[in-house]
Amino acid sequence: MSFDFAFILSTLPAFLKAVGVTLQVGLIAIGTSLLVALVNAAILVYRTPYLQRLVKLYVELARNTPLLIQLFFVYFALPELGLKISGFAAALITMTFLGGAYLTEVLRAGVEAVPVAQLESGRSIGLSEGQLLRHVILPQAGILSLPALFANFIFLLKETTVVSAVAVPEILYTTKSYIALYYKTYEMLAVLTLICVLLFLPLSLLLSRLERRLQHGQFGS
Amino acid sequence: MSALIEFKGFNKFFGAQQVLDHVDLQVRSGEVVVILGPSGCGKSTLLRCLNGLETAHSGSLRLAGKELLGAGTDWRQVRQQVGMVFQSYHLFGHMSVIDNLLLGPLKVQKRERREAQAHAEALLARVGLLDKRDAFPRQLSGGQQQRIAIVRSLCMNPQVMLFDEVTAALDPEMVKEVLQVIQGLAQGGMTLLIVTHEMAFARAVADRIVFMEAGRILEQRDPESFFTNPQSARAQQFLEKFSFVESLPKTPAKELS
Repeated sequence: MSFDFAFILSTLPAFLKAVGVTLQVGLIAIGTSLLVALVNAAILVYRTPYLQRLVKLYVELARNTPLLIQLFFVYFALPELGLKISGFAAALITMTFLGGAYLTEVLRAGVEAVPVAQLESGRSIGLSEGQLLRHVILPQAGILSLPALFANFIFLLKETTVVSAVAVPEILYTTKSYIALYYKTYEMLAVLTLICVLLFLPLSLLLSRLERRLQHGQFGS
Repeated sequence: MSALIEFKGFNKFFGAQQVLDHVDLQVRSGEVVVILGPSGCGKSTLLRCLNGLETAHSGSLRLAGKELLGAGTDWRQVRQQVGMVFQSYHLFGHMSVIDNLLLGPLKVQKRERREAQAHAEALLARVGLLDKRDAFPRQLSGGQQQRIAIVRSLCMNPQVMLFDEVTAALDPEMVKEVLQVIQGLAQGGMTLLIVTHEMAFARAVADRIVFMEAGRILEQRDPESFFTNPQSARAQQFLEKFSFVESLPKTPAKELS
């Protein structure tokens, strides 16, 4: 069997578009997940009655069910209840549902990792609870959460391939379409693998550099 | 003359355990009071109650005549007048020295940056650390961090400073530089409450020694009579343990084969 380079070249424009879709789904989902997580983490850290139970339930539910099943539920089951949505919307909702739960735990752990002594130290110079949060807790929790936060960003980006199951034209969906149409399984999977490496590896490296620089800037040394 | 700080029938519980038991203590303005006692006797808790890091349960606590144990106490206001220095310095690790020093003056007291900064730099110079102005805490030695922590409290212009075993985590060499700073404050007329295990320092710096055990004050007297002639049996025993090391007889040289 020969490796069909000409065919690969002809698919590149479509893959370029697919990369755009993957990044779009991934980046939007990271943003919305962060928003969800910020609200949830605040509820957990401040032990808001009732709401914190709800958040814990949500986190456990989201983390202990597979993404694919969540996606099918949103895309196929919700329409039965009269809520019809596009594949793209279903993808974003599901990714946010999952990502929000993971990032909630990351942020909560970050805040709880700030030593109590730092809080007492802040209070002892007369900081209000709001000032304490802004000038002591959040900057330190942010730095402490960075490694886990960035790891989860990459994880969410990679998980976008799952949404190919509801016909969102991202990289895996595009690959499967070409395979189904032209039977170029070998070439297409090679292209997909290469795209993943080219896309996620530099991002990983970039984020770990950013992490080091931020920690350096914040703690000096 | 009325007292600046006045504990009266002051009680504090951790759960069912009573850690402060009817404490009566008066501190006049400008006085240096050193609190001694075995571990767990409640001396640190007493300091922490004075700036609201612990909440008291009953009795009375007055600062400059104002009762603090009521519901309407503005602890943020109190903490600006009562500086606290901790055993492990607790500088803010994500901020440079100068930012550590300016956080309170700028955010809490809303002072003008130029004035606050000049004040902070003058204090830094006084403890010999002006050149560390832009360093981060983890680039500094323990002794340097502790001196910065003292300056951080001083920047708020407090009436009283509380020192909670501030040399307990330091190497012997660094203890000296921190104690010198505290001694300087004492000589300058600042009101100080000091919890320490440095007996010689306590004797040198204190106007009065307060000896505590099991949440109670057993005796409080001037340092000379406390150290030469303690009244309570518990204090005698406590001091004997400290002098044990100093008066340890030299082990005779052994024949090593």
